[in-house]
Amino acid sequence: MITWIQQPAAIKVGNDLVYLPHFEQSLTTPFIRKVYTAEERAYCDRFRDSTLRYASTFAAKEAVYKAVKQWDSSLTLSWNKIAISRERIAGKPSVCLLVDQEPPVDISLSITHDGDYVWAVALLSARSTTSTQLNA
Amino acid sequence: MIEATELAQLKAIVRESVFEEDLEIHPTDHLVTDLGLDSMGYVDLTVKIELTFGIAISDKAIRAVATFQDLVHLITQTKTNG
Repeated sequence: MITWIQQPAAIKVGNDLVYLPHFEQSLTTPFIRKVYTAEERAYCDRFRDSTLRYASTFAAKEAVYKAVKQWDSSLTLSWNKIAISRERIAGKPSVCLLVDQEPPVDISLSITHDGDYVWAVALLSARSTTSTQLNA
Repeated sequence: MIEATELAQLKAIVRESVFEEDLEIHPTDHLVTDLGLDSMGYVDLTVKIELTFGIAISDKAIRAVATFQDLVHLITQTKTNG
């Protein structure tokens, strides 16, 4: 069980760059099972270019992982516990951390791609220091 | 310890995960800074190790691995402890 320790208010950033030709070779069924939630798989598989969607979702997950690590280096989130969703097809991405205790943070995401590369940036802002300490 | 054939298999897996088939690998090589493993490579490496060695490796455990010898140690420990 994860215990979210209240940190001083802060903004942290994480980003990830995915090279599509390599990603395509790594994207096997065991890889998909390990990394993606059922909802993410359903979303990515709706597209003819599903590899691009899997890559952008992966980049977003990794960007979030790095931002969270910057905020609290003792936390290690599993890939499938960082759930990326879109408000609509190809719409604004958002993230939900599938953990026991909701962390006192807000995370904003941006994903882009051009040619062989997909890039995602996550901006994490910790809520005020006066909010409740969350213990497991 | 893992056997010599398994060590060779592991090196082959690392080479595949970093897309460098002729890469020389030494025990103290850092997976990221020396061997060029990236975030996607960590997943690829984990999946291939699990399939090859018939073990399960947690995301947390693989993320904690720094050097090639750490990786060998993780596999040895996982095989021993189940």
